Formats: sequence, structure tokens, C-alpha cells
Amino acid sequence: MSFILATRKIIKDEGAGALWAGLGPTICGYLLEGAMKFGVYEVLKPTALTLLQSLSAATSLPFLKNQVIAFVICGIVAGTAASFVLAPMEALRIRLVSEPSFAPKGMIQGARRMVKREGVLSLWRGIKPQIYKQVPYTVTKNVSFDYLTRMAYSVAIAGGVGVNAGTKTTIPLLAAAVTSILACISSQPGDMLLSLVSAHQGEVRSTHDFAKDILKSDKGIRGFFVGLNCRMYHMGITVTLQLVLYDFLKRLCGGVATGM
Amino acid sequence: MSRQRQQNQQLFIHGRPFSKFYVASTSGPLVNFGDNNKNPAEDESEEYLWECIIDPNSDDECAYYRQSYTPLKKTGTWSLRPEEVDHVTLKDKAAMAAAAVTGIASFAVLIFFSGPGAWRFFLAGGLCAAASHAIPTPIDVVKVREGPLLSQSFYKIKHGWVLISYMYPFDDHSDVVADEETSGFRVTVDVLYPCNSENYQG
Repeated sequence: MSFILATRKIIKDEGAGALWAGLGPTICGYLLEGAMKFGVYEVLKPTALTLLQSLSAATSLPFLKNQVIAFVICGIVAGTAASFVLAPMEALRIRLVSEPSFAPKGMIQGARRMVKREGVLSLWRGIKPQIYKQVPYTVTKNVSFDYLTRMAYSVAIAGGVGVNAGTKTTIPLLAAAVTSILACISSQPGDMLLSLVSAHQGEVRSTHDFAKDILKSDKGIRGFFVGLNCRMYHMGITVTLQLVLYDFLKRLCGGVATGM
Repeated sequence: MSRQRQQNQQLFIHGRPFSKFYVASTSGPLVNFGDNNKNPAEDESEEYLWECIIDPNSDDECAYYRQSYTPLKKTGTWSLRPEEVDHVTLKDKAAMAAAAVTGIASFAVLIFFSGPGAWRFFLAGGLCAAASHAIPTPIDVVKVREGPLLSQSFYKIKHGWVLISYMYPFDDHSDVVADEETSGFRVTVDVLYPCNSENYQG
């Protein structure tokens, strides 16, 4: 069934409102996840750089004094922290969307039912695939955006274009678009595992079982990238919008533009 | 005979009888259901694997019970022990309030110790992520609904068998196991979707 046909079927059977199922957990979950992901990443950057510099001096390993390594470490920490914050809301969102009858009154009812029926820990059942998805996603997204904007501003300044309102709009937009493609590719295997674990019901199977199934299928490692093209459109819009908005909101709050 | 059969098919949940209900499964070998219009009286010992029972006649929402891989005889009186009681107790309210307060306090502490001006990153990050994920919600909904296709396609590839469809309680694909109108078993097994990973476009 194509995406458009599936959309039409949902609208016909359940009304257009059904397309907005899970909006509550989406907003709550990503509000916390975004705060954690961007906040921890930015706040940790100076500390990570200082620590690596000290480590480099102590061990006489100059390669440790590297911004990229520091930013990647920050991304890993931020992505892991964001996964723990997002996991319960994501579990709830997927349940509300995939089983509309589970909690017709919305997220509070859904959360209560999940906790009562399956226990508090059930909310973090998808944490492992969530980490597999979030960590590469956060690292690629934050580090790439940081570097691409930084590079683009340097080129603009060196080329005599200067930093004005136009470059402050164009550079984040272009950097965000490129970043979205990279983030989509790096997080695709994790996203595939997360989809399979979330959709699967019945016998208990670990994330590794699903990964083995994919690897043993006739597609092999390419199995992890099934549906990548379609996800690219979705993720492209989401990540580009997110990063452009982030940069704009940060400046609106009195912060410096990313990459400056 | 018909009435007798209906009585035999009565299901009790929370002590309340249900004469019309649906049984659905999202997984598992429901191949026993392959016999369309089979008279249940012909083989009363046959057992089915089932996953959830949905009562379409409840007041404002559908009662939903799950007990995976429990064999269910298709005739006789079935009683299920209630798995939980769905009402908010004072303890639940206290736990929810405590969780909310803990969450807010954790963020407050984190922002406080992150130094002056760090709140900008947390605020901007939270708002941009919430907005950017809220806007494409309809795409996510369709994707999640169609997600099981992908899962099944892998099963097909791996195990060489086609799973019964992912079923939504009241859509055309539900397996109606017993209802009053037919006064007997009407079993519909749909291998619903073209389970092929290539045509997955979710």
C-alpha cells in the first residue's frame, strides 16, 4: 500500500483527526529531548575541550587535542541523555498511534494504562534501539551543523561577503539541509531496528535478534537501509526545520549564531 | 441449538458477560483460523492462540485485554481474570505528580549548574525539536500504522511464511471469531498486505 493510499484510508476510516494521533507525547517528548540534546551538547563543549587538552598534555598524544573528538564526545553524551528522556514518550506515542483503541482519551490515559498494565519499565523498553538511533543521529546532526556553518561563515568572511542578515539565513539553511541528509543516513540502521522492535508483538525478541534477522535476510546489510529514500524526505524536512529554528531561537534569546 | 451455542460462546470479563466480541492477533501462528465457516460444534477441543479481545459494545471506549499465547477454546464459557483495574488511585496521582516534579527539578538543576546563559540552548533546543517533530506528525502516524508491513516482510524473508495481518480492532481486516449475527463462527483469515519490503514506502 503506498503512502498516499494509506493516508487516504486512515482519513476515510477514522477522520482527518486521526492523523494527529500522538501529538501530545510528540510535543512533550521532543520538548524534553531537544532541550537535553542541544543543551547538554552546547554546555559540555568547553568542558570536553579542556579535558581533552589536559589529557593530551598528560599522555603526550597530540591528536587528542582535537575539536572534532570533543564535539563527538559531547554528541554521544547528549544523544544518550536525550534517548532516556525521549524513550517513555516515544513508547507512548507509538502505542497511541498504532493502537487507537488503547487510550481513546489521550496521552494521560495511555500513560496510566501502560504503567499499570506493563509496569514503569515498559516505558523504557525501546531504550536500546533508541540509543542506537539517537546517538549517531545526534553526533552527526550537531557536529555536522556546527562544522558546516563554521566553515561556511569562514568562507563568506574570507570571500568578502561578510556576515549580514542574508548570510545568517542562507548559511544555516544550507548547512541544515546537508546535515539532514547525513543525519538521516547515519541513523537509518538504528531507526530500522527501532521500528521493528516497536512494531513487534508476541514472543520476546531482543534488538540484536532483529539485527541478526536483517543481516541474515537476502538483503544483508542493505536491509538496514530499506525505506531510506522515503525517510530522507521526512527527515530532511524535520531536521532542516529543526536546525534553522534552533539557530533562529538561540539568536532570539540573545545567543550567538551556530558556527560563529 | 443456536441459542445454546451462543450461551456456550459467552465470555466473561470482570464478571460481565460478553456475547459479541472480537479476537485479534498481531502475531503468532493463527493458521488454525484458516477454516472458514467451520462449525465450532464439530471440534470443540480445538484451541486457538489469541492475543486480545475487544468488546465493541462498551460505553465510551473499547475494552481491551491481552494475554499472549494463551490457548483459548472456541466453545465453552471463558472467564478471564482482570489484568488490572483502570482507575486512578491517590497513589497513581502522587506518582505522576512526583514524576513531573522530578523531571522539572532535574532540568532546573541541570540548567542552573550549566552556567549563565545556558538556558538559551535548552529553551531553543526544546522548542525547535518540539515544533519540528509536531509539524510532520501526520507522516509519522501513517508510517507507524504501516510499520508492521516492514516487520512482517522481514519475517517473510527470514522464515518463509506470511504472518496474519496486523489488525486494527474495527477495520475490515479484523478477524471476527464469533458474533451474534452469524450465531456461530465466521472466521476470516486475511493475508492482508503484500508483504514485500521493496514496496514498503512508509
